[in-house]
Amino acid sequence: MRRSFEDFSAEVFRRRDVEIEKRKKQRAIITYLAPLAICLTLFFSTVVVMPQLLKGGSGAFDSDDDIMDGENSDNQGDVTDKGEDKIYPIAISYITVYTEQGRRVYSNAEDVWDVFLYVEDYPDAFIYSGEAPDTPMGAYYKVMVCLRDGTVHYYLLDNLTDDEIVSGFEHLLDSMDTQ
Amino acid sequence: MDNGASSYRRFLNGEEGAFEEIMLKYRDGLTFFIGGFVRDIMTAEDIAIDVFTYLLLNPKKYDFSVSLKTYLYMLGRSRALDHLRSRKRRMTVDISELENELADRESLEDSVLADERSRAVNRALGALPEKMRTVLYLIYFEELSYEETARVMKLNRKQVDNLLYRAKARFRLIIGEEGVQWI
Repeated sequence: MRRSFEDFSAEVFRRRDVEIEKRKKQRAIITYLAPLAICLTLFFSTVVVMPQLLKGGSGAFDSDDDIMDGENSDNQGDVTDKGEDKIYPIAISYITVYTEQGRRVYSNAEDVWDVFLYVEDYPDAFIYSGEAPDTPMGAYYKVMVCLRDGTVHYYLLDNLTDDEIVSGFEHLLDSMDTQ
Repeated sequence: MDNGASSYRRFLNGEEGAFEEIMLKYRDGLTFFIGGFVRDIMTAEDIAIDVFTYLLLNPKKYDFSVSLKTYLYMLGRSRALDHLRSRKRRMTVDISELENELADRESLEDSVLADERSRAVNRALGALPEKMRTVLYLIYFEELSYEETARVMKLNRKQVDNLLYRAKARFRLIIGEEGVQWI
């Protein structure tokens, strides 16, 4: 049987409401699920993937490390390998050393070399990304190195006493300041 | 006569009751028009509901460049043809449903077609091919202009002229057999 006008009209408005609800749900999916997906991606990359990567890197001077194996380097004017089977990158844009007074940026190749020399003295150093843990002298032992290929690497001296870290970096910073 | 445009403007200004006026005015005609394509009043009514729902949900799509009636018939024809394309060729119809369908059709005819002569003419229209039937129906029953008919059928004015000429010639033959005088 045909609908009465009242039923016809009610059906039109009912379908309108159903469609509006459907659109709201679609909008909600875009509004809430998309950011959720981004958050999950960030969470997994930070909490799951990054630690795996960090565990994989045995040290800043590991010959398997991309930074040190020269893959990202043009090898022009290579710094010597100091008698060992290591090629040090020179394609470094700048490094940042975090100090209590704030960050200090060095772009001189010699400065970079100094940092590597210093780090090499401590084989327990490893690549680190993230905030430096609280220590009495805090930020001294976090070094950020930006390569010219756009990658950013942090170096953290671990398993060292605060004194070793402080004295080492003070020496490093002093040497840089005098250049 | 603004063919519903003033009601629609009031609806756009927030008067929901104005939309009911539009439905009241065009529901039967639109359902009947769609029924000419789908040959099933219930389906035609369902499609007509979809047309009004679309209008409710997309108020900005109607830009007043054609009359509201023309716009509704354009939507109706388009959806009816979509339905025909998607409908399965084989259909089973229950006898009781068929009886209801016939009753509904008569009731709708009573609403849209005022007199017996119009009904006889409409029945004769059913014997025509779809385009000829539609052009005659829109111009002589719905009293749309040639331009409006062209918009509904997605033809140009010249094509409507030609189609109408051929439709009238064919229709005269059919209507003559039914004994109804055609002016």
